[in-house]
Amino acid sequence: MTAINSPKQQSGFALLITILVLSVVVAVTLAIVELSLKQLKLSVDSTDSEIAFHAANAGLECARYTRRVESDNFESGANVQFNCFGSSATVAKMANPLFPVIPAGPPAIDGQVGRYQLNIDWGTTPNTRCTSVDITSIVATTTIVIGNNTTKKLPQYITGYSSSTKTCEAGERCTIMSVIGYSSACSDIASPGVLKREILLEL
Amino acid sequence: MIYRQQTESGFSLVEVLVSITILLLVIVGPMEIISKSINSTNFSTEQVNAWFLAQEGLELAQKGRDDLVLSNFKFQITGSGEASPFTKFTDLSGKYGACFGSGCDLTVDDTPAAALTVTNCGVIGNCKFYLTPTSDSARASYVHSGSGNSPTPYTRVIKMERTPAAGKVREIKVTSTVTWRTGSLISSQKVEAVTYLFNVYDSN
Repeated sequence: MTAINSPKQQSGFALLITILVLSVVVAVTLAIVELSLKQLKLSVDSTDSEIAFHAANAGLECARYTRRVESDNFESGANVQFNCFGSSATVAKMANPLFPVIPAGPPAIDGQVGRYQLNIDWGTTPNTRCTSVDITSIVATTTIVIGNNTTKKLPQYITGYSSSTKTCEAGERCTIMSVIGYSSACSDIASPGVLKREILLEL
Repeated sequence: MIYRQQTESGFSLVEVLVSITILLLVIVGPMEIISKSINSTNFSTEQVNAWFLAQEGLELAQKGRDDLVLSNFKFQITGSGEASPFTKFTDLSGKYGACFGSGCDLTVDDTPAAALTVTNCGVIGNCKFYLTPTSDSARASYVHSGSGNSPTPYTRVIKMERTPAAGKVREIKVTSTVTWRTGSLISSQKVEAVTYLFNVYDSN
C-alpha cells in the first residue's frame, strides 16, 4: 500500500511547486511591467508638459511684445496687429469683455477696458502647438473695478487670475495677460491627453 | 521480470519535450517582457533627463537676452552699459552668432557673475556633455570639457532663427535639441524644445 501511495503524493507536490513558481514569476513580471508603464507615462506626460509650457512662454513673449508695440491701439480700443511666430493677425477688441466692469460702460468707459483674444497655431505638423493669448488693457481715468460679480469672480473669466476682482486706480494703466500653451494644434485642444500650461502676467 | 520493468517506467521522450517547451515558454516569456520593460524604463529616465537639458537650453537663451537688457537698464541710468541690447543679441557676427549659424550651446560660468559661455557646435563633438564629479562642496553639473569629467550620452545644440530674416529683428525662434544614445544601441534619440523670444523692451 505504501509503495503505491507514495508516487501519487509526490506528483501532487510537483504540481503545487509548479503553480507556486509560476505565480511568483508572473507576479514579478506584472509588477515590473506596471512600473515600466508608469515610468513611460510619466515620461510622455512630462514631454507634453514641457511642450505646452514652452508654447505658453512663447505666447507670453508675444503678448509682451505686442502690448509694447501696439500700445496706442490697446489703450484706444482700436484693432491690434499681432505679428507672432511668423504669422500675423489683426484682432479687434471684444465687443463685450464678458466680465463686469464698474462703473459700467459706454460712453465714458468704452475704449478704456479692452480685451483681446487670439489663438495661434505654430510649429510644423505633427509637432503643431497652440498658444492662446488673452490680453486685457485698462486705462483708468476714474477707478475701475472688473470682475465683481456675486456668482462669478475674475478667475472664471481670466484663466489663472489670483484675486477675485481687479481694481485699477484712477490714473493707472493696468494690463493682464493670460497665456495658455497647448501640446497640440488649436483644433485639437479638447482631445484627451492634450496638456495645457498657463502663465499669467500683470503689469 | 516483465511486470517489474513496467513499474520502473520513467518519462517518455515526448513528455520530456513537451515539458521542456512549456517550461521555456513560461520562463522565457516573462524574462523577455522584463528585459523590454527595463529597456523602456531606462529610455524614459534618459528622456526625462534630456528634456530637462533641452529646457535649460531655452532658459539660457532667454538669460542671454535678459542679461543684455539688464545691462541696458544700467546704460539708461548711468550711461555705461549696453545701448542696443536686442540688436547685439541678434547680431550674426556677435557673441551669439554661432547660434544663428551651425548652432551653439550655452552654459553658465561657475562664477558670481554667472556669465554665459557660447560653444560653437560646428564640430558636434564640442557640444557633447560631460558630468563633473560630485564633491562635498559642489554638485555634479553638465559641462563641455572632457578633462577629469565622466562622459554622458547627451549632446545639446541650440539654434536661433531671426524673423524677419533681414532688417529690424522682431522675434527669434529658439530650438534646443538634445540627442543621445540609449545604452549601447546604435539608434540615436532626440528631444526638441521650441520657443520664441521677442524684443519685449523699449530698446533696440
